[in-house]
Amino acid sequence: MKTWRLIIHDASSPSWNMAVDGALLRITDIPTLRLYRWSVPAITIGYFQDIEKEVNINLCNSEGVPVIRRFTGGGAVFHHHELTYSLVHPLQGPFGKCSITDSYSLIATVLIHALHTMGIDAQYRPINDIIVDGKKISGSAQTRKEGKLLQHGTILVATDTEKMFQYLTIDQKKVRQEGNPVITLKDIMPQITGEMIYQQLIQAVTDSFAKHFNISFEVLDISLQEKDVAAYLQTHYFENQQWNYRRLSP
Amino acid sequence: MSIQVALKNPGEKLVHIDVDFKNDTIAYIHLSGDFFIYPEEAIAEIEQLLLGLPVERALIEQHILTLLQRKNIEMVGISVSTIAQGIMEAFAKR
Repeated sequence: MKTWRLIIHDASSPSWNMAVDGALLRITDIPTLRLYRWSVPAITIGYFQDIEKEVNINLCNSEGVPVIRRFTGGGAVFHHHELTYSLVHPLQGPFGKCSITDSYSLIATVLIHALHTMGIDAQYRPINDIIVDGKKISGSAQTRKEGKLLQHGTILVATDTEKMFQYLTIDQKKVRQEGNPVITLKDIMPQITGEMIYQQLIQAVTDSFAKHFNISFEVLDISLQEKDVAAYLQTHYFENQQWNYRRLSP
Repeated sequence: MSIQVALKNPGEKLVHIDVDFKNDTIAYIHLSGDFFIYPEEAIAEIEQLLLGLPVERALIEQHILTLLQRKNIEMVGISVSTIAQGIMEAFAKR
């Protein structure tokens, strides 16, 4: 049985959260699952998105909500009360012959199983979403570099939908096609409160990864080298407005 | 001033195309949206490739396809057909 590294991080700043995922992609060779949370509300946008098309920048700035461009594609996300996962894995073993869409589907299967064990009837909505009752509870984004994949994504625990709609310029065409967009664990399981819901979710997710990939986990933190790279990425990318505002329309 | 088109074709992501034309050729193009391109940096090559190209759908599609194959670029949630469709729609709106 192979051993993967499991990193469980307390809530951290948005720029640090993205920087650690970037560092893991750049220098980690061992399969690593990281679970983390957000110390403050934040928006992340996909690599290919135009910030002014997706985000109400003035409102975010006036309310001190950071807006950060990810290394991964996909859509704009309002992060706050959620469990975020990131998986870094060499493109071998279970991901050796996996196309990009296959690997989205594979990881979604693992997360859906985790939600099923919590009594939640979740389903995969290609390309990169998991839904409950037709509403999104989890979205993911993947990049591949130097023979590795990084996939990170959210599992919504609670959200302030009103704030989300204020911060994000949700495309009405998309809303019409996909309906009321999100549902959270607290919507589904209101009886579970406080930290308990996170602990249950972390257990369900790690158990599901262990079962599906026939692995065990060793709980470790990031290395000093990974921390150094993360600090570099935090400064040069995720706290750098040139990066965050990079793809601007004329 | 560029012309903006947004497309959401079935099975794909939302694709914004900002494009400008000069003498029936593409003078400027900028693609954005919640799609995926691997490697991500290839989007600049796709945009660059289209500059100066006559606005003919088959020609646009062929040029992008050739680049994707030559550079082993993969697109998810966006297609060659959607990019060409967006350019043609923008051209019709001039």
